[in-house]
Amino acid sequence: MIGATPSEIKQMLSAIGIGAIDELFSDIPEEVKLKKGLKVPPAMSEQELRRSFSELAKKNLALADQTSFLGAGVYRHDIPSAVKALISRGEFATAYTPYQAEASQGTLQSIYEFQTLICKLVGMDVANASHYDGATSLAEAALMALDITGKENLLVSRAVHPHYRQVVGTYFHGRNLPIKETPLFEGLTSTEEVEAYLSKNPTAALLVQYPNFLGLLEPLEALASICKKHGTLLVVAVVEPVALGLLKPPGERGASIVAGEGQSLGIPPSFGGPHVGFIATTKEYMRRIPGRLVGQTLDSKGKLAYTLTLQAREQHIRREKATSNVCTNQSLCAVANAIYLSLLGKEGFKEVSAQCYHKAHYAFRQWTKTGALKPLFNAPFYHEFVLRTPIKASEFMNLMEKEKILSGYPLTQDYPEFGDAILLTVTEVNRREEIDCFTRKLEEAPRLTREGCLHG
Amino acid sequence: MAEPLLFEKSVPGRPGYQLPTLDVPLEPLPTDDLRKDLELPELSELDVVRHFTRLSQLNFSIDTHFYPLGSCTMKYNPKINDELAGLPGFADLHPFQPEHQIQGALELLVLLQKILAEITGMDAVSLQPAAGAHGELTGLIMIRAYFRDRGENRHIVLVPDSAHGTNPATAAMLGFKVVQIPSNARGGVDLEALDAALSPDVAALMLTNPNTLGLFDENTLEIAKRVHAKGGLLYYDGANLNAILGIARPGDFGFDVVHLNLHKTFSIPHGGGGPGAGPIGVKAFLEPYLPLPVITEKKQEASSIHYALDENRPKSIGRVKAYYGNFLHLVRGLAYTLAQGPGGLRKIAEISVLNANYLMQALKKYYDLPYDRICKHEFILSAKRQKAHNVRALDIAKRLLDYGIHPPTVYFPLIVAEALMIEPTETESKETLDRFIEVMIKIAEEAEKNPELVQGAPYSTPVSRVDDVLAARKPNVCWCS
Repeated sequence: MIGATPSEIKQMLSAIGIGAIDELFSDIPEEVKLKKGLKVPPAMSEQELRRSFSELAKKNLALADQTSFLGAGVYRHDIPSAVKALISRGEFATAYTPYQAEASQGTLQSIYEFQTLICKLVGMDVANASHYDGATSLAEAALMALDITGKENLLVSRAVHPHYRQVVGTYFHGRNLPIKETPLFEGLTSTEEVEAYLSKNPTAALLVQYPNFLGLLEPLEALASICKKHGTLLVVAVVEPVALGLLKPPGERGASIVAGEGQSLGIPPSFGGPHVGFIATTKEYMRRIPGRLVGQTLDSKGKLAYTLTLQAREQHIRREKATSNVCTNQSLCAVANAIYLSLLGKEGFKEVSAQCYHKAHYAFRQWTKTGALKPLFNAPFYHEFVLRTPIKASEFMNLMEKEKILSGYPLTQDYPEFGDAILLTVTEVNRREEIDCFTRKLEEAPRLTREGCLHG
Repeated sequence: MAEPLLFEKSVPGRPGYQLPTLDVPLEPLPTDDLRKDLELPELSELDVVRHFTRLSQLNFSIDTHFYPLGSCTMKYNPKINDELAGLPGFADLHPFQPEHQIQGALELLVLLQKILAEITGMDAVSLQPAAGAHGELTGLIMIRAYFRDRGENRHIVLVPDSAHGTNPATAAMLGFKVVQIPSNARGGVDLEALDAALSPDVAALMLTNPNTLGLFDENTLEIAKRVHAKGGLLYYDGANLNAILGIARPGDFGFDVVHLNLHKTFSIPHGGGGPGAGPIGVKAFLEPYLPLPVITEKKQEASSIHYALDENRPKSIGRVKAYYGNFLHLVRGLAYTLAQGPGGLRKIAEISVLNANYLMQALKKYYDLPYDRICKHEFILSAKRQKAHNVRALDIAKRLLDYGIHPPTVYFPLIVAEALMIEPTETESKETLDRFIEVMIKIAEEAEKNPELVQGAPYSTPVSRVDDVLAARKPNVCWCS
């Protein structure tokens, strides 16, 4: 990966007027110069890399090699081949941040389209050019709410994804800002608890997730009206945007800011990253939004063009006065989202969204019918639901894993109050055979249907 | 020539994707919660493929153009890395799979942590941060937590005037007071100003070395000594690590926290602005504060190792990102590092510095060179001379586009007027460097003899000079039908 040949190196040294490359490092104090090579593995050829990484990859069990009902914030959806083919083009993948608009119209227009698609999906006026991930987007949205309202308290629903809550917590503790978790009632954010807290504490924002981490549809309108009464912004996290093919968008249900995750829209699970976050809001708060924004404009000849805009919010201009320190968007992942949404299109996306819903509800019906797994909540859900296991959740999952079934996300750690419970997810890629097969496994394991018998 | 928007190309009833027929019975829908309309475009797969292929062709990229873009290290991005990141055992892996199903992923992360610790001279590494600025945020939160534990309330962060904008922005975002330290005549930190600013209130000095002028601060050990003497910590912004890979290590200079930009030094593609990856390294005394989770290794019988995710670390600052960092980028970064070996890593620094000095020597006759000393992997020219003809750095940048070269970073660092910050990287051939020299000399001539030509550039790009003022005055950031 070195451009120059040994003879060219000599020519360049002589053009500079020195005899050896070492002279170029004479400004580094001798006592800290490495006397030996770094202790890193010896160089590998491409062949060796391929072999060694394939071996590492084989030490993992890919989702495709088992039946998976695991979601909990990262979702398996079908990805049309054209998505990877297009984002793998060097012109997209190896381009720099589009600061030079004239040389970056491809990235800029794609991001403008991404922003538009996100706005349409979540029902907002403005979306930024993407952010690290859903969790950090939610943290930035919370900071944005502080800035808008001038208030310091933050109220976070316990039904927000645990990692998201923890990331928001880290951002806020880092700044010594108060943050309070609001409890649930039957799996939903308790409106009474929210009302009680907000009426006593001036609060910048209430953070909820829709559908929430437990798969349930939060009463956004009711929460929005409580927030409005107390001058608090309703910030809604959308971790599964595919749900919005079917469901009324948070923008139409009273959200002031929507912070979301776009992994579901054309990006593989990828062991958690890179994924892509976004922050969307109303026109009113456009100038408070953190991160890059692409806008339409004209060139010097009056031709339509795209450029990064409202940069006066950003760190490279404003330094310590910027709205955020962020200096990256997940541009290539955002382009993948735009490609995915345009390939699926209006009807295809609605159909994917609806299939997830129908399959999940079919699965819920079949699995609970066996009596082995019991529902915990009654509220309407989208494609995830919580079931109580007859034995320890971890033991149940181990048993199912022996049948090559990844039976969901154990909630014991994050929600001990639910007892032994798991969060199961069904998407359009789960075939009926898989769902029925899991049903049979539940029926075939008689010990499972009699609570507790495996404990002895 | 202009590519219409997706929405403008939409034709009602045109499908671009087909699903298998629904194989379960229909269930009643939650009628109160259904959306009325969904405004997505309707296009065929061919429409979409042509649209985005055409858009891609409007871009400059490393695969098509030379990018001497200072502080961004736009080196070639080896294709093998993308192939490896796409392996199903990595891409089709869920972060919440049971530990025994993800041993390969954890082993990979641990190996990368060890290599990055060795390269930077640090004791422990976290791969969690998603980007450089995110690494800064993580590092400063750790520094705050450390001082809080010691009962010290240090609320000031020192930042040189040549620093990246992210440094002061990060510190301010966390509520630190930012104090700027001026540069001295040689482009380094002004030691007297540093002494004057140091106090028991100072939490850290954030430093980029080589700095954004492309100069190695020769006083680095003295700076570390003085900051430490007052109880402060040293933060290393690793944006410019490329210049010293295998030559020297920030940990040995006395830095307590470093962040790296895998999308710069370690060849991860920039993707048109991201995603990136910004691991941090720390000295042992800060290890308890690392973000969650931390990967542990347990030796089992038969010499095999079991990797586990440790979430139970009472002093940890907590989670800074969902899951485990930008994992597929970490796969790419590891592949790149393993392809180099110790000799290759050092060679990267040597040749990137050689290339920069070669360009600097050739161009200093034609442009002002504010700091005429050996540079590292990048250097700063000033277009002051050209400004006398009313040609600004921005005009030169735009004119370069007409010659098929992506411009250098302009107007940064802020302490040099009309700055052009040039970083050729080690992957470019001598022909490319020579052509760049030739073009820069030509543009200097044009600026003198035909300034209007340069002021009106670019002429050959898909759009001519873009009106940023109009874009900001009447923001249109979403297409409405």
